[in-house]
This record gives sequence, structure tokens and C-alpha cells, in this order.
Amino acid sequence: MKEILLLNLGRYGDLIQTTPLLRRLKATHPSARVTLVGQHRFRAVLPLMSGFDRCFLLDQDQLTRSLARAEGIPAAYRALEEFVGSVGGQRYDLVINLTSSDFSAQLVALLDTVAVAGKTSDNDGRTLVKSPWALYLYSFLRGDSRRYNRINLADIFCNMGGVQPDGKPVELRETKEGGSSAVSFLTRAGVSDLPLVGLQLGASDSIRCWPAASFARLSDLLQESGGVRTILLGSPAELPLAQEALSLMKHQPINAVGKTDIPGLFSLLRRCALLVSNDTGTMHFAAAAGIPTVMLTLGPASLFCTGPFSAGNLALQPPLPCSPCRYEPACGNPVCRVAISVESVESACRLLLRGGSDAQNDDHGTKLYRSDFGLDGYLEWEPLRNGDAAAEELSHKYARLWKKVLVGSGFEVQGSRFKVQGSGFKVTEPRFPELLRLTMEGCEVTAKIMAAARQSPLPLDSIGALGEEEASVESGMRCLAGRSPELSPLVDFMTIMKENITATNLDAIAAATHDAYALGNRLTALL
Amino acid sequence: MNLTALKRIDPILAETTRRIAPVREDLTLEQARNGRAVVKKGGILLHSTYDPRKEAAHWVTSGVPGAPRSLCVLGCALGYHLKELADKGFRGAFIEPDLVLFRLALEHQDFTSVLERFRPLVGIPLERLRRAHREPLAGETIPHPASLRANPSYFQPVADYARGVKVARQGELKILLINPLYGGSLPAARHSAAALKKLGHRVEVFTSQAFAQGLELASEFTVSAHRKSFTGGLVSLLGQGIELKAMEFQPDLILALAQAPLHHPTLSRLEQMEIPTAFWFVEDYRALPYWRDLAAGYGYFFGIQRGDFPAQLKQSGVKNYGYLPTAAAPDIHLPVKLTKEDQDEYGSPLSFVGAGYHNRERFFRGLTDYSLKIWGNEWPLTQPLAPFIQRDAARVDTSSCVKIFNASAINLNLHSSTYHEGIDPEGDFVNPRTFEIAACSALQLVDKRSLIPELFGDDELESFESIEELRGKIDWYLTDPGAGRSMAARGRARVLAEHTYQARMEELLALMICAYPTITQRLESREKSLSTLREELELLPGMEPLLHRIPAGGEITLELLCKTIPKEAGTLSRGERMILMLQQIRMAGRDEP
Repeated sequence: MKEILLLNLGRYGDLIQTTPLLRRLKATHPSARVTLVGQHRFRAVLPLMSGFDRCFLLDQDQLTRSLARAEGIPAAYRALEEFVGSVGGQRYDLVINLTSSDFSAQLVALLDTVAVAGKTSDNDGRTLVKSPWALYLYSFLRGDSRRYNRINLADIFCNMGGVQPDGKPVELRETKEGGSSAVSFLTRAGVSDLPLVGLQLGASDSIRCWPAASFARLSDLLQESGGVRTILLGSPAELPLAQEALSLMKHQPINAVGKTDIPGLFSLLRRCALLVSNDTGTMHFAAAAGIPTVMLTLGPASLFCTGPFSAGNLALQPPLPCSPCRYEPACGNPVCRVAISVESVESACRLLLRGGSDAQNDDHGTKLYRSDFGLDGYLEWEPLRNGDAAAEELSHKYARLWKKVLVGSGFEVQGSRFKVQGSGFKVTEPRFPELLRLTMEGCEVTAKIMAAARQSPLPLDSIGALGEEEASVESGMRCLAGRSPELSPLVDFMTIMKENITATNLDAIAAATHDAYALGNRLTALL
Repeated sequence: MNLTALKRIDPILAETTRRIAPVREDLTLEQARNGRAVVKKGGILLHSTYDPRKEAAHWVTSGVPGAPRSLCVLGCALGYHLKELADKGFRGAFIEPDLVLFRLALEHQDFTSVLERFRPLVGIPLERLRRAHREPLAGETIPHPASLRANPSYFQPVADYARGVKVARQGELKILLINPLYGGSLPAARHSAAALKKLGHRVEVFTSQAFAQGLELASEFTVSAHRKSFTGGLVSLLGQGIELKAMEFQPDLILALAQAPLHHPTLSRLEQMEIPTAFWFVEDYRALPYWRDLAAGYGYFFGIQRGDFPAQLKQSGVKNYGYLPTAAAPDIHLPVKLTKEDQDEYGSPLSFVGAGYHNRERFFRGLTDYSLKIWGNEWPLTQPLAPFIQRDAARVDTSSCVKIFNASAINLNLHSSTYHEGIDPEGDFVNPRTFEIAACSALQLVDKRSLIPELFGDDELESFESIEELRGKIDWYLTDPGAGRSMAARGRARVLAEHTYQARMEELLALMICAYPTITQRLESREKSLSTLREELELLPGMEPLLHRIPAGGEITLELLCKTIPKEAGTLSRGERMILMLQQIRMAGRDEP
């Protein structure tokens, strides 16, 4: 490989979660030039990142401003044309699109590429997902499947790039300016030798935020019991939240909200002993800074998908059947925000500050997990308290299955390439006989369509009837997944495989559909 | 002589002026060098102290160029400029809030030629001026510079409002109107949309009421928190829909009617999109206090009440409040010729149309000896009113209402109350039915409301304060139908002149335009850029085929360009992909903080 393009138009946290992939790409393809495409708004983190040779930034805010009025269309068009022209200056051996937007899919379609992992767009403008790991990613983002996913986004990113996770955390490097700014801030704040506990109050969405009053009480409890000093972290937009918390605190913390730039924030985190955070970019900075985090998993946040990518973190999840919730429709009654008690969080903090193997009992049933890297290099979360053993067992089995099936499957989606590799799976009494039956029926009906498609003239009536039969199998699977959500990962994966079939003739379409059912049938048997 | 001339034109003004003393502390009369009288107001000279007539002649030549025409002059002073304009053949109206100054002018100037050609609008408060004298303000307005300097707090808003009215009448504004989710304000929303369209604006309506039935599902939840959560979710969904609609339509302003599903997060995002928002709260603020949670989110709040409502709104963070009573739609509420069948069905000596509120149910017990028909829903079918209630208290549609108003000798109008035993003695706002009955040229007897006198004259509407007074008036008008017909005709004339939805929308828009200069800027820039935008776009690679699919001379927006791209119909060109990408950028912009 000579030219690799990494497209990530996400926020700070998304960019930080890309760092293991960048590291592994450089190690695997040392002579390749790696180009990173990001958003201008989040450029401040780039000086802290390594593993790419050049970077193009999309100024989405400027384009949005231009497009606010019709007369701004020509300027926006020219700016976008210039941007696309710069990025598309040469042929890419591999484009890894880590952005979920349709915009990114259209951008990829305008590039000269050999292989694509992630979203792209076909000639008609239809969005397509390319590469098995990207199919997996988008299959679990769509519905109930997400709660069964146990593979972290950073590990999925690595696999989308065709490289294996290496069991190392996300990484950023401290800048000289960031370090000086943190030291001078802490000096001005009169920090003693006490360990600092960072509190990140905000998040991208209020539904993901633990109440400011809870943070205030936690801060007081931590400072009252001695031994630590708390420090509030956050952007200027989070000042009102900080003010609310400050007004409720008996013991004032250091207030760094709105007072740090990105390099400064990272350097400040490096000087903390611990961070307590909602699902935020700050949490990912902490993981890269090598400090442990107590993650508050609220709203749609999933610790397994986007938890801090390093070993030794703790995550608390409310004991609610709906947690984590779906992205849409947005929850109108986010009771999870108040479902994690201050005492639970304080207990988790103590566990990280003082060490030990378990936190004290929690009567509220809050789930507690600890992160570590597994022997295969993937990040794992071990349940420490109140975990659901059956659900954990099934989710882990899924994770092992996906790793076996998807690893080494290349960048093209063809059913025949999905092979369940290695051993470790024994087919015993089928656990999900109904899905097994349906996938078998799917195989049979698509095999009949393939045979019919090879006849001349085409037996149209018969093909029509077979098509309806196949639709009925598909519908049966969706109903089954509705009744038994634990099957939704398999059904969703088969669905997305079928949605992304690019063949145009009937024989090939039927063959690709057959592949999806065959894979689903095999995986169901192994589950 | 002047007063005699004035009396012929406006006897009430003549009488008021005659009674007023031509003296006030801040008004000083002086003599110019040529011997003519000049006046100072608050220390500001309103005329040249050399030769005020020459100054006026110079002002007319340089400040009012062109052929004689109709004008509305802001400021009377001692009238030198008005006299000069009249002598040159101009006509129209002049506006002067200061009666004493006007009296001085009449004393020191021969005003006969002025009064022959210019209608005096003197001593009229701003709000009354914009409601009762729309035509002069909508025409060409010229401020008398010295008057403007001496009394900017009156003349500047008048000048601004006059500019606003002109833009409002010019049409072509893009207005997104948010219908209520449910409730009695839906007809007002429909009439407002129709009125805005008549004014030539491009109106898109967000028909929230389509979800009314869905909202009823809330009653199926037994836990109140669940009901609240469900309702909140639905309102949030509709808010999202409104945002999307705003992004697609890119309105110059958004008008929401009472009970529209707009909540704070949506309002603040609309504010971020720099779209001015207006709310017309056509409900009683005391009975429905939900406005407290929303009012501050709107750019301009319009209500049907005065009293301490504006102060309470200010306390809630509202920056702009406008009193805007409801109105009638004269193409719907009008005199109609009824068939004999209709007359038999809908007609009666005495009728009432409206829901069965507590106070009405109590009050009408005192009228059971009349031939009375009660129309409307929510009436208890019990004695003693049951025999009078029509159609088993079914809801009455608009066209039937109009027939009832036309067919009845006397239409009763009693404003609703949930707790009074009859008339609300402190009732202020005027309900839509008052205007609607009047617009039908039908006689109505309405309970006394404190805000009626400024909307209708004593000879245009008959009101009552007690059951005894009402009974007396019923008897009187039943025996003298001619008197009733004359009063009703005057009432209709007043509605047509001042109280139509079109007039209300014109006023609302003019006030919004004054408060938000961006509205005019957007309109002007749209007009100006229409041709240059097409030219510019044609120069971009790959854009020509898309532009060919948009009619020449028509508006060009990103949405229209996207719509020209056929769905799944062959290979997309680079230009088409670029346009789709820009559209995605714009849509994504709404989610960014």
C-alpha cells in the first residue's frame, strides 16, 4: 500500500479513538503515506496526534454559514470543490471512512480508490457500506443489536483498516505549550500535593449528563474525606453547568471550565489522578493521558462501544432495562440520569484511588465494569458488580463469533469469504431453532432463485413467487428478532448484508442473498 | 375660519381643538425676522427664524421632488410646509400627536387650503393610528424634519411602522405558519394563513393538528409522569419537524398560533438559525397560563389583552409585546341570502353560538321565556336549557355559524368563564365572535368588555352589563328591527375597515419588520440576487444541467437544486453529488452546537 486515506469528520473523541488504527497502519504499512481528513472545528487535537503524514480539514462551519442564504451557494460550492480537489489529488489504495454521514459517502464516491472500508455511494447516489467490519458496525448502530456489542469502536476501526488491535490504549503526545499552560494554571490555582480528581460535568447531549447537583455532592464527599482535590473541567459552553454545581458545593474545587485550550486540557489531565466523566471527549483525552476514568454511562452512551480505550477504567451503568437507550427516538423521560447514586460513584473513585479488587456493595443495583485488554488485543469490560451473567455470556459469545467470522475477510463483501475460522465453537443442541429454520429456508429459496435465473427463457411467474417466499422469510426473521431481541445482531447483520448487495443481475443478487442466509445459518448454529 | 373648515371635515376634532387652550410650558411662540410666527417645542425650533415660508418652499422643492401626489406628512408644526404642499397641489393626510401645537397652528396660519387637501390625523395614539389609519401610513410618508427632531418618540416609531407596512403590503415574504396542535385557535391560524396569502406572501403551513388524535393517546396512560413524557415526546418530535421545515423552506419569519407545538429547545435553535419568531396568543392569559413557559423564547409576543399582561410578560423575559385583538374573515363571515329552509332551521328571534361554559349555562336561565336557540357543544342537556339547545349540543361548523348569525334577529354574545355566575365584570379581551357577527352585518348584544370601546363605537355595537339590561335591549330591538339593522351595518363597516385578519396580519408583519431589520434585508437580497445567483451558478462546473431544470426567473435554493436530481435514475454527475453534499452539510449544521 502506498496511499491510505482515513476519513474521520467526527469530534475530538472520535479522532482520539482513531489513534490505535493510525498506530497500527504505520506499523503494518511503514512506507505508505497516510492522509487524515478531519473537521476544521476539531483541528486543535491534531498536533497531539501522530501516525499520519498529511491532513486535510473540512471547514463545515464556514460552509454552513455560506449556505444559510441562497446567494452563498456559489461560494460554498467553490469551497467544497476546492476541498474535494485537494483530497482527491491522487489514487488511494485504501480509503477508510470512519464517518457515518451520507456526506462522507458522497465524498468517498468522488475519490479514485482501489478499496474502501466504510460508507461510500454508488452511481445512483445510494449509500453503500463496504467491508465486513463496517457492515458489522452499521448493523449494530441501527437498533437493539447495540446492547449486545462488546467490541470497542477503536478495535472496530482497526479492523476496518485491515489491521489487528495491539492491546494498547489510545495515544496523544503532550505539547510543550500544553504542559506549560497546565503547570502555570495549577500554580495559579495554588494546587498542593494532593491528588487531583477531574470532574467533567457536561456532554454533547443533556440526556448523557449526570446532574450537576450530583457532581457537586460527589466533589464535597471526595474533598471532605480528605486526600484529594477536585477540579472541574470543560469547555466554555459548559460554564452554566459548572456555575450550577459550584453554587451547590460546600468545598470549592479548582475551576478550570472554559480556561483551557485542547493541549492544555490534555496536559492538565496528565496531572490528575482520576477523572469522573459522562461519555465525553474529555474521557478519551484521559484515556490517552494514561489516567483512569470513572465513566457514567447514561442515555444512549454504551461503555462497550465508546468507553475509554485503556485498561483500568471503571464504568457505571444504571440498572435499567432500557439502558443504553436507542439514539432515536430520543427518550422523553431520562430517568437514567438520576439512577446512579453519588455513593456508587464515590465508591468507584475510592477503588481507583486506593486500589483493590472490588468496590463496596451497591444496594441500588448499579452495574460496575472494569476495562482491560484481552489476550487477543481487544479491549474488554469485566463485570465487577450486578452484571447480568446470562446476557454477558451471550454478548461475549457474539464477540468471539464476530471476531472469528470477520477477521481476515478482506475489504470486499462476499459471503463466500466469510469463513468461521479456528476452533472453539461446538455445535450442540441448537439454541435458536426458529432462526436456524428460517435461515435454512432462506438458503433454499435463494438457491431455487439462482437455479431459475439460469433458465432460458426466465420463468418469471415462478421467480415472482420465489421472491415473495424470500420476502416472507425476511419478514419472519424481523418478527423473530422483535420477539427475541438477543437474535437481533444476527438478523440485523444479514439485513445489512442484503441491503448492500451491489450485483445487478438476478443470478448474482440471489447468490449474494444466499450467502447472507448461509452465513446467518452457520452463525446461528454456533451461537 | 379654520375651526369652521375643520368642523366640516372632522367635527369631533374641531370641538376638541376648540376646547383646548393654546398654551403649554414647552411650547414657545416667537417671531421670525420677516414677522411670521414660529414655534419652539422643548427648545427645538420647528421653523426657520428668518423666513419660515421660504424654508417650507425650499423643503418642498428639495425634500419632496416630483409631481403633486398623495402624501402622509409626519408633523404639523405651524403648518408652513403643509400650506406649501397644498399650494403645490399635493394632498393626503398629516399626522400630529400634539393637540396644543395644532391649535396654535390654527391660530397663526390660514389652514383652509391645508384642510381642503390634507386630512388631519391629530392627537391619535400610535396604536390607534396604525389600526384605524392604515391607508395613509401604507402610502408615501414624509417626515417634517423639525417635527421629527422635536418629538422623536412618536414620529420615529410612526415612520418605522409606515416603512414596515409598505414591506408587509409588498408581499413576497416567506412565512412559516405553525398551526396549533388542537384547540380553538385553529380557525384563527387558518384565517391568518389566508390573509397572509392575500397580502401576497409565500406561506407554508405546518399542520400540527394532524397529530391531535395522537395526542389523545396520552389519556390512556394512567401515571401522570407517563402522560407528560408521552406528550413531551410528541411535542419534541413536532418541534423537530418544524425545524426541518424551517431548514427546507428558509422562511423570513415564523408565526405560531396559540397551542402550537413549539418548545424552548426548538425556539432557541430557530433563533440560532436567525429566523425571527412571532407568537399570537389568542387566548385568555389568566385562564391558560402555559404562556409563562414559552413566552421568552419568542422574538415577538402578540396577545389579545392589555392590563398587567405586558408587565407580566416583561417579567418573564419577553422583549417585544404587541396588543393584537382577534378579527373576522370577511370572505367567510359575511351577509348571506338564506333559503327558506335555512331560515327556518337556523333562524330565531334570539340565538347564541358557543360552547356551554358555566357562566353561560347560569346566565341563559334568565332568558328561557324568549324564543331562544342555543348552538354549540359541551352543553348539558338538562333542564331548564335542554329545550333550547340545538342538535343535541353538537359542534357547529363555520358555515352554519354564519347562517345562524344571518338568520337570527338578535345574536347573543357572552364571553366564556368557568367560574362566574354570568358576566365577568372584569372581562377585558374581545372574542372572535364579536367580530364575526358584526362582519355578517348581524345584530349582536355582547357583554361589556373593557377593550370593546376602542374597537367599536357606541353606535356600532350594543353591549349589556346585566341580565336586566340585556332583557330590556332584547325587547327594544325585537320591536324596532330597523334600529338593529342600522347598528349592525355600522358594525360591519367598522370590521371591514379595521378588524379583518388581513389588517391584523399587516399590523403584525409591520411590527415584526420594524423589530427585525433582517426580514427586509433578506427580502431585498433575495430579489437582488435572483438574477446574479443564476449567472454565478451557471459558471460553476457541472451546474448548468441542474439549472436548466429550474424555471427561468424563479427562485433558486439548495432544496430546489436537490429536487432536480432524479432519484436512483442513472449515474450522478459530479455537480449533482456536490449539491447533495452541500445539502447534507446544511442539514447537519442544525445538529451542531
